[in-house]
Amino acid sequence: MRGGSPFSLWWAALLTGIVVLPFAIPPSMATEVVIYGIVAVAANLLIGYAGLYSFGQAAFFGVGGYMTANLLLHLDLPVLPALALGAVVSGLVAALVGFVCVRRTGIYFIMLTFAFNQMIFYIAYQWRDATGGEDGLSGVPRPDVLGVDIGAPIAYYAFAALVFVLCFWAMGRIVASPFGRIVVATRENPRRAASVGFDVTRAQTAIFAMSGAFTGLAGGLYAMLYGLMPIDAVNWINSGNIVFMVLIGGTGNLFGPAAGAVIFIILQDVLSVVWARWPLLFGAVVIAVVLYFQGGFVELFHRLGRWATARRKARAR
Amino acid sequence: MTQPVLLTEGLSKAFGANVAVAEVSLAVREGTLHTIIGPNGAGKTTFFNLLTRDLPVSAGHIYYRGDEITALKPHQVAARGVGRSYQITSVFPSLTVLENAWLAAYRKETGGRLDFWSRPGAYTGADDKARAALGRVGLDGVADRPARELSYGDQRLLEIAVTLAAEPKLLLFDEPTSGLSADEARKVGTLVRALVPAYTVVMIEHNMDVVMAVSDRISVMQFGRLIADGDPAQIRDDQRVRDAYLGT
Ligand SMILES: Nc1ncnc2c1ncn2[C@@H]1O[C@H](COP(=O)(O)OP(=O)(O)OP(=O)(O)O)[C@@H](O)[C@H]1O
Ligand SMILES: [Mg+2]
Repeated sequence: MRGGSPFSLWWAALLTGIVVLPFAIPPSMATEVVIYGIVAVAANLLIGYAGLYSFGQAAFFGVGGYMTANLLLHLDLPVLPALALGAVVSGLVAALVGFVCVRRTGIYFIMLTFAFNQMIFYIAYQWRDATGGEDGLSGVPRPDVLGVDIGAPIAYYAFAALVFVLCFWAMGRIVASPFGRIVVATRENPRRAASVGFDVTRAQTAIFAMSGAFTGLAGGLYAMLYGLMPIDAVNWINSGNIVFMVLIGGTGNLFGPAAGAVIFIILQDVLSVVWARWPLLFGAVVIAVVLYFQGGFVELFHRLGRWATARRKARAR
Repeated sequence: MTQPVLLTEGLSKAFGANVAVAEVSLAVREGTLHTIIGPNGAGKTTFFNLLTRDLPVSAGHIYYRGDEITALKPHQVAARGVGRSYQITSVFPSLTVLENAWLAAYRKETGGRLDFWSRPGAYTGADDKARAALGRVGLDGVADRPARELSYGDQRLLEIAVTLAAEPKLLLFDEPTSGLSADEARKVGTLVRALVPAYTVVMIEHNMDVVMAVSDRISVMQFGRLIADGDPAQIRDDQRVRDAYLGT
């Protein structure tokens, strides 16, 4: 953790946020926030920890979403196995995509992830039976989970938030594990990681697959949110949004991207009503973040904290 | 005579028209400290890069304990028991000193298992190995500092500790004393000497005091070729070496 505050404080803030959120904004929007929270945190496994700027995360969101939606629609599978299978399948697809992409670095890596995103988008676009094509896949049911009715918006929020917390905790374990340390090593110095004896390609493919699995799980939650898996969710623009969330929130730990998801979803909702060209603003914000606030929102918070303490001290004198 | 630990046959590397390593055939005996010297640009580092497969080989063969390793990948060479340090310090800057060494020790302990669920602290064996390696170079006092905060000299020592922590059988040190004060250089020389004969060491080195004091055998490279090979006394008296390198 690069953040200065103790770990438990971060967790307290996160859990408080989760409780407050559905009262501050409409429950369905709050649910979108926790779903994209999973997606953004999973993307940061790649961006922040592995140094792999994947611009293809929407593809895995889509694969998981369509998979879970089809299992619920056509096989009447219960919610938990449907979500789990969605995660597994998108993890496998991500393993395949990652296996190819990590052979290149920097801009070439980015372009490859982007190309795969486009490919999967067109498959989704053409394969109407499985995806509904450009109309999206509608009529996705939301059956009980272990006998608990999650039909009401607030009940579904509670369920999605619980999944978010579990995913967040699991990803926290992953980055704190030996594997997490290996991943950081491959980012910082791939050549050294290899000469110490680690298979860099294998480690990068593995983290790519894991990130894809969590993203796919979130896709499944999204399909159940509105009973619809829209084609837009697989679009590369959504991949860009995901990277936005991570950069705006900060890549230094897992909490930043979660904050990034809150900021993005709320701003998107507010701004798209008043100004159709609002993505322009987002572009400007990202440029500002990259140039001046590499640590993102979390860094801004730290800086404000330091600034306030300094002022208080000055005034006390 | 026993089989050499490391053997190269006609090993060559060309960068376009520039032949950096030209048909180098070299044998390194078990438990010896074998030094490679030569003027700047002679191809010494490139030779190491071929041994560890940091660079693809243009021609020739590499054998480690009789097995051909010419076509292996870098991590596979490392897994066989070949460790190296770099001329330009190459560590993991944001990780702590201990974490740097721990990674190498963990790889040795587990073969590089992608354990994504345990706590690193659960691997006490790797922890012990890492701490032992840090102790060996005298960095135990700064174990919890991020590597990037270390002084240049300490980073050079960490470079060695990371290499040692993986407990390789064959160690390749690329100018371990470069940039160090005369005092520090002597210390590193002593340290490297103490590794022999438990380990086999090949060391590239410019500091002639260190080279003459610690080497069992010296090979001299110039323009990518091996021009001489012998014990320190022979090398000191070799006319070609004097002309090419010692400048006397
Ligand atoms: N990756 C590379 N691409 C192209 N040329 C290279 C590369 N690496 C080394 N060379 C060239 O190969 C030759 C040998 O370089 P090398 O670094 O092996 O020398 P060296 O003996 O280690 O020198 P020094 O004592 O300065 O470290 C030089 O001419 C160098 O410019
Ligand atoms: Mg060199």
